[in-house]
Amino acid sequence: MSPLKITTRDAATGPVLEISGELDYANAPQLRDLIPTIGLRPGQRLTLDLGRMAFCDSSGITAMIAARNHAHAARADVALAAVPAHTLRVLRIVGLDRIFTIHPDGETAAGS
Amino acid sequence: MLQRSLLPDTLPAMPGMEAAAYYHTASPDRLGGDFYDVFPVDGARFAFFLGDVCGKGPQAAAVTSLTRHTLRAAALHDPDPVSALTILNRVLHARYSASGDPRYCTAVFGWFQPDPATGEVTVHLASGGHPPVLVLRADGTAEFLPTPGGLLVGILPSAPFVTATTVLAPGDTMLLYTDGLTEARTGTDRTTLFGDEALLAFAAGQADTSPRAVVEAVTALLESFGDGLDDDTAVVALSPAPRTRHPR
Repeated sequence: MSPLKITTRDAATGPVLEISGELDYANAPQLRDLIPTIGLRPGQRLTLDLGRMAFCDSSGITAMIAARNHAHAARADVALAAVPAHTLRVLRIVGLDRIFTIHPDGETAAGS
Repeated sequence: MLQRSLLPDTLPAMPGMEAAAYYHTASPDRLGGDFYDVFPVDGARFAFFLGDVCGKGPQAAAVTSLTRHTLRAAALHDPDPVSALTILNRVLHARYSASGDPRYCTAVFGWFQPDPATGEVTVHLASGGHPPVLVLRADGTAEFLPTPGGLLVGILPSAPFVTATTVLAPGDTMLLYTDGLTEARTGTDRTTLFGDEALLAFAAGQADTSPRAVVEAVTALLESFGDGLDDDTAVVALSPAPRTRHPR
């Protein structure tokens, strides 16, 4: 098991959260607690870079929905970048692949 | 036990249909949120639903309870599958969206109508974010009823739900399940899962039996996962009743 590590950086499009490790029942609250503290201006995009996420369960999916709600409340956009295959499969089953903007890699999403 | 109050005691007797169900509880102290029900809606049709509420514990159990009661009331008002899921979506979104604590579920909802003349059963269903329902045909084949694009219920003010229709002939079985079955770990790492393909292969070997036999086979499969199964899992199997000879 790998612990969850979240690194925040600013890109041209807005804040990028780089998520590495396991976004599960035990760790997802870490992301849930961080999200409300992320400052967003209207028109910005909050990007979750999942390229180094090793695992994601339904608690992780809930955290992504919370991120979307936070972004929309600030009239900002949200995008998922570099989604691992196993998580993309789950996003398709639950219909979220049509709700989130999904980018193949973190660089494209962040527009840098 | 609270979980018991969230599930029907028994499935109703249904002319022209047979049904069986099983609920696997992963952890007695982390109450799960899977749910199902089957009940009559008018003289000819029965409604069914099965789903999975996100999260665990007392709060998830409250969502499960609200979900079950909402779907039952919606079905009696109008058993149209999209209409029932749309009402549930509104209820969950209105209740939980402002709390900053998103609560939602996946659900498949439908109705079926046995035709006494042919012994066949027509099924209409809709899915919101739920894995596709499986149909085991009498000839030994199995197929998913795909419902791509149906969204989790409760996360948006309005959500797309996707419908599917099929006809079950005697010997066919429709299997509803929650993702504890397909997400069971079959390897040493957390992302090696039983999966859709293995489920399809398993199902193809179970054709032309009975809902009871299919549910018993799934129960044995779940037991075979051992520690790989760490989520609650609900399964419901429905089949047309075997034809009996008409008295001369």
